[in-house]
Amino acid sequence: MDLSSIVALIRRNEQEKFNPLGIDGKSFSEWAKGLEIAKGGEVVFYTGGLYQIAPHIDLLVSAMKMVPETMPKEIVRIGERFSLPIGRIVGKKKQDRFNKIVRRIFLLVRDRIPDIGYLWDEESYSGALYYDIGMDFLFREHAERIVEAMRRNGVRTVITIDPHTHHILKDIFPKYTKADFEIKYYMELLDMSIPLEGYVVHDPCYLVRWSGLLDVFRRVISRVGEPDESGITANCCGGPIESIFPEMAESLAKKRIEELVAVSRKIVTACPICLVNLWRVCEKYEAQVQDVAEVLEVGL
Amino acid sequence: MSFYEMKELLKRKLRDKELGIALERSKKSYLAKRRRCLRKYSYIKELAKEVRSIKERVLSKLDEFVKQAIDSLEENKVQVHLARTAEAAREIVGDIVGSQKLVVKAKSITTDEIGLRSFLLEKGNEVWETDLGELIVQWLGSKPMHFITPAINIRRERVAELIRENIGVEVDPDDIPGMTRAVRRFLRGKFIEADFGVTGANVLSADTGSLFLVTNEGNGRLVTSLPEVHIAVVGVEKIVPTLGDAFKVCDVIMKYAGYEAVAYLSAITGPSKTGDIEKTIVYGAHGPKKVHVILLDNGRMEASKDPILREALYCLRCGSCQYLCPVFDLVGGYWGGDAYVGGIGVLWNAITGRIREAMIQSFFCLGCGKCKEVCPMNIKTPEVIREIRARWIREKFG
Ligand code: SF4
Repeated sequence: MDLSSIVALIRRNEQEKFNPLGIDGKSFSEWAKGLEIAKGGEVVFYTGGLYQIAPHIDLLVSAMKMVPETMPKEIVRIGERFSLPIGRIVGKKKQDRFNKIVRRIFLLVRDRIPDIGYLWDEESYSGALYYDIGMDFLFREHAERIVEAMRRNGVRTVITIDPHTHHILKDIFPKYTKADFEIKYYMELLDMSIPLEGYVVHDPCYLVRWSGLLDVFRRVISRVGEPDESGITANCCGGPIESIFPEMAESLAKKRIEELVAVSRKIVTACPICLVNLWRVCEKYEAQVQDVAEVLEVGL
Repeated sequence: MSFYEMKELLKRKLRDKELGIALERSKKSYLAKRRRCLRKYSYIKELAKEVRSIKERVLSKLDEFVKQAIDSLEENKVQVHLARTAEAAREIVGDIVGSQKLVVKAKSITTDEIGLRSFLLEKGNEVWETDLGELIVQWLGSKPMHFITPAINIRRERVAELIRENIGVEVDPDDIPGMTRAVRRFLRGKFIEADFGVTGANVLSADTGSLFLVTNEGNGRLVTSLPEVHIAVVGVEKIVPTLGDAFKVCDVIMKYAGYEAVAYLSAITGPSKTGDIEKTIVYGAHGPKKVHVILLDNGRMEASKDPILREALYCLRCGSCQYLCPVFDLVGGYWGGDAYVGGIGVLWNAITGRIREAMIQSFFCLGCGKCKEVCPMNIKTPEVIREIRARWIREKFG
């Protein structure tokens, strides 16, 4: 798949579904089924859909690897498959796992902020991918629409749940829009410290470097094993390059897993992209990768 | 190379076991040395910050500092040439050297940037790289794969083969000292016979007009002292205000390259001279009679005015970001440009007019931000790379 077809595909998906993969955004709120959460309000829980989209990225990657790169027409057809409703493409179990993570994080947050709101169908993907690839025109439009939706719903503070969405909302939105909301990462609200003996931590780049939240992360989890390169100089899982170069993403994930399993086979991280990319290769190393929300039992 | 061809090349490199082993060996050894340096010399992080602010000051009025450097160099009887482009720089050196001459070179990425070695060879000269790593690169006919360790992708077994093929000496692949000895013997005569010594410079102090060379092998000393003429090709971004500042830059380069102090730190201020007979100054006592400095622009002046691209001009070429980049760790210097490899290489491609190449290479950056974290100058490489992509996409797709 060459660059122009990737750009064309992303553009079309943005126009049709307001996200780069063309996923039906209605399914973003599936995690909240049965929960009573007010629409909007001063403080909102903002998923950015990344945990929900992550299992699809995994599938897109496997699909891209199978298609010979010289056949862009085939690729467009794969793009069409991604316009299908969520449940039909991704295994239900996988989707459930990611929805559960979001639900857990929400419950942790609601413990601290009982009247927290949610934008429901007005919430959307943050646009991080557009920004990363350099599609500034799409990113700006996208960001402005999000800011409008927040204003409409009376939002002043946004609680983010993944490091990519957090960085984009906190550091990049103000450069491209008139956004002036307070952006907080959910871990900043948690006053717990969970000892994770026997685990090894994989620090997400966007959490510890771009968002500077290493201390917050280590406050929430303690006594966790550290690989050779950890914290501020942790090595990347490879996730960011998966939509352009899946083979590279896989090699990077393997390299990182090798560093991690040298300490423990129980890996904990805090990012849907890391989770998917490490998860894809962990079986071979008899390792298990979990999101921090899956190991934080307390307070639920 | 197109994006697609580049991706195919990198895909092959991902599967290259030899490369993987060589890169792993180098990174491990570097990381241990780096950690030791940063721990033992705890002042170095602060000094690096100071160096960044010194360089910020220079780059905000680069024209003035270039002028001052030229004046100081000329006062030292150095012949100064200002080259706006790579071609101009090549021509200047070509005119000085001519043909049928013997040229010895110290490792210099700036001379690689302008393709000097092949240019001088084409003009009918004999040219030798004298840095061991760079000599291996010359033998291979490839490009340097790292700022500090140009042959980082080559295992010792392959080096033994190259020595056999090129100087006809049998060496045991496990005998690295033996290989070094063979090369030393081979190059010894070249140093003595050489007409010209060509180098770059790590720093140039504007007040005294002194060129600094940070080296370990000692070849830098020989190249700059044995031949009658020394030619240095220096990027204008290497200028700092004072001699004292230059020492600071050298200290930061050494420590971040993993050396507590290099074996040879040279400061060269003009040609060799003596006044020992009746105080009459004679040039070329034991060292060179003539020193030429080619100050190279090749996009640097323009970049110094571009708030985004200016970042790259802070680079000290310490190699930290290459050793520690996760992508570099897998594919080495195959990612990046011909002279400037890795993520910082993408920036330097853009500066030196290889925009298309920079755009294509930019897509192989993860944006993970590790390079910025390990860089003594805290260069925002991922942000600049993103901006390079954005500029390209704006141009191509509107
Ligand atoms: S970008 Fe920074 S880390 Fe990389 S070579 Fe230059 S100074 Fe060193």
